[in-house]
Amino acid sequence: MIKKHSFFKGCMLVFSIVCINYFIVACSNQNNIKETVPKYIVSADTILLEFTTNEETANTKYIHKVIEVVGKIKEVTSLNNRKTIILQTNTNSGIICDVNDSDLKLVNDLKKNQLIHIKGICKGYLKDVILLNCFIDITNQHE
Amino acid sequence: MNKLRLLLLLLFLKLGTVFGQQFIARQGQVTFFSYATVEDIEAKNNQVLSILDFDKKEIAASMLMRAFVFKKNLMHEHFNESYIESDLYPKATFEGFLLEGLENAGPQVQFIKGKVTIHGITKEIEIKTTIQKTNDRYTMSGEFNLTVKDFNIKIPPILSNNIAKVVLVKFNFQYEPYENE
Repeated sequence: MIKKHSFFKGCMLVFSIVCINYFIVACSNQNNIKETVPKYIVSADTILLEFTTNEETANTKYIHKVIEVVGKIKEVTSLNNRKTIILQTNTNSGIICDVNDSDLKLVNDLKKNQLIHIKGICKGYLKDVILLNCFIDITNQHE
Repeated sequence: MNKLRLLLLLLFLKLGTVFGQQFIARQGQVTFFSYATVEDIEAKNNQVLSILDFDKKEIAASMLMRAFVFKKNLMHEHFNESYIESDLYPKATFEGFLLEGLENAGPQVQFIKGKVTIHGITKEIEIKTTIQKTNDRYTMSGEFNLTVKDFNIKIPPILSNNIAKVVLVKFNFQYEPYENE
């Protein structure tokens, strides 16, 4: 009986550890982006050109990767209750960067035409390149 | 008389800029809801692209399947890897036309007929939408249902209670004049 009991306890312990571990991984996933060294650092013009020249190649290179894009702010929008920074390029397409909730405060201080570095996960290209979970890299702002 | 002509000309030009122009939404919102016995799933895409041409009464929309945001990472993973297979079918698209012309005043209900393509499968669909004009911008919103099975999306029997057979899709687009370069 005691053996059975401790076996059950052991199972519960393992199960709890698995759950906690899963929870930690799930939670830290987003904040990881902030700490992750970007796989690529590119200018807004370069990444757009890569997507417009050959979308398939650019998809393979950038999708799912944490990347850092350098560019000037075209506008900041508040559509759909999200803060979105759009970086300008030399065409009428841009880089759409959906800002992570933890970085929302920083958005208010941004100005049009300001040069910034934005780190996020690349999701692909429609008419603009789309980045989600974006963090603004202040340390690099005035390069 | 000359003044009247000038006025008419100006009016014509003004109408020309309103009707002879395309409108674009780069940050349209599409949300889908799956209500099932085991769990409810909701996912939002806030970067849907859509172009509207009132002259031709045409409308087109395109979205990246990977850009849908779920409450749980695991749902996102299953959606992209097992069901939608985003690596093979990265985009969902819609191409259609407005059944009636647009009047200038107030919010109005319109029907859009067109083809939706998801997971490589194209289906005809008719969507009821409300269009509203404010200044030189248009807002278009509405909802419709999609049957999961229609798009060759295979749900394993063990998970059939987790995912609805019919998914509710809501959309909201804010269009601004599109300056094509």
